[in-house]
Amino acid sequence: MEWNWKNRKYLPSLLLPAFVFSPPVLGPVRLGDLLAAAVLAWFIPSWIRARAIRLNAMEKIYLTLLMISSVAALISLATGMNERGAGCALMVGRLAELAVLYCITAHCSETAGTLRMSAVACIVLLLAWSLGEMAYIQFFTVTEYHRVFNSGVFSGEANHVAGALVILSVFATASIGASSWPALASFVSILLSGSRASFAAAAVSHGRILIVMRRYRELLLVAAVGLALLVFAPYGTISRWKDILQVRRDYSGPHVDRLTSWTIVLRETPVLTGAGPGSRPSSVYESCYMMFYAESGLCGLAAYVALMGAMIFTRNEYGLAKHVVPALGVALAVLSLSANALIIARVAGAAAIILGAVRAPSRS
Amino acid sequence: MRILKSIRLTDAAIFLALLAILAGLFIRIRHPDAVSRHLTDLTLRRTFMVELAVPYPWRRPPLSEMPCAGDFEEPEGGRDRAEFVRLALADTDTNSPRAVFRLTARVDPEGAIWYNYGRVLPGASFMFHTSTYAMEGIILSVQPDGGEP
Repeated sequence: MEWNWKNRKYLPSLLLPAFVFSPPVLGPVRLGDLLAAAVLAWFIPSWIRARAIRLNAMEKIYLTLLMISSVAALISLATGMNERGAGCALMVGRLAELAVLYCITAHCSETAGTLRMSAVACIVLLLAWSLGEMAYIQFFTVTEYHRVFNSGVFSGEANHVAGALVILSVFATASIGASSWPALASFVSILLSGSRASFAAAAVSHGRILIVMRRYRELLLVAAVGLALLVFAPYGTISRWKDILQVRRDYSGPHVDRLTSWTIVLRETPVLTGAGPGSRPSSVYESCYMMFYAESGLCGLAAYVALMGAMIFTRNEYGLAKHVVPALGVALAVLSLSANALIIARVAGAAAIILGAVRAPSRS
Repeated sequence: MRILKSIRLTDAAIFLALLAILAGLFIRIRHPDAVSRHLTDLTLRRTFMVELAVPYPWRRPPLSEMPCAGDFEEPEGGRDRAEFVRLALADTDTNSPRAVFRLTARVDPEGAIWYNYGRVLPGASFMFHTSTYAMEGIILSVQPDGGEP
């Protein structure tokens, strides 16, 4: 069957909340994954026929990264360096899924307007959720420090939801003619989530957007609100910021403290090919740069750095893509310092959908 | 060469990714996932029996129920776990009751045991929370699960 569903332009707006909100429903699989797989089956014939697509630099580098990860996976499985078969399949599968999401969204979108409305709706819902959860904790429980988005459908994933908020708010703010109130709303939710990497990524990426777009008054407002939130943050939040590398031994209990794990990972990794995708639980890395080096070696790390560079210094783009792609590049590059941004479904799925949607108007 | 030229980057990437995914699934069918012997397992978790001296009042608020074997807490992250096993009340007023917990906790490469941001070793303090009561005490002994403390 050919891909000719007339309402397909609304599909990205549906996929976006599916990735941002869905808990795992089948092992690690989420609603967004199931939806993407269903659409993919329908989409394949059109994809095979589309022989004349000209890839831009970012797309070529991403496909190279996918190839390097796949080759590293095959080598590591063959040599016995990687004995986590399911972990490997899931890791490569996630990277391939992002490419699929990007292609589907680029194929379906006509304008990014509907998707922007969907992103803003997600930001508003998450702000309401975070304020409601915090109010409940303050009035009905006795807790010294609480992170929102860490229970219920978001079980243990406060950092993931906060990362998704960074991606959504960057998209909303980088749109021409948009105001910066989605950024302010996101700052509040991200701070309440206790996600340090996301707060830093949101601050840097929004700062860059507003400077490049010469929205200096808004920049001052956003900076003032961000600083005020940090200064008046609860004691627990400030303590967390002071230990951003998680090096305090008494803080590293349920996790692995970053400096120790990175030292061991650097010592054990085969320099060129890495130990293979999924060879260790991803919680060991807590950094995309470290993860790609550890799993795909120097080649993988170089490809990932090149991908971030291609997004940040993208050229020959117009319309929305001109501001959104570099802004998302900055956000992902900062998030990747202390989070596995590219394999977190809520973050990378949302980014792939948005990047595909802003690519759509410029496709030949 | 003509064949090579006709293979686009997209096709090659999809082919290799599918191959890697299938290879991963094949390895998974042959044996369950495990961190390779070439690598240090940095998320290693083991089970321990921990005995605690819990000074009076040995049960802390919210005090809505009495402890029952099998009560458990799973701190943030969902990978550590403490399960209440039993409590022996003291025979004199000067002794503290003794509580025993089964702990699933991280063991670091140096062999140190970590549970919910804290070291688990004799002399360290330990807190256990459920929605109906809490307990707090000093660790007396830590034994691998299987051996009674």
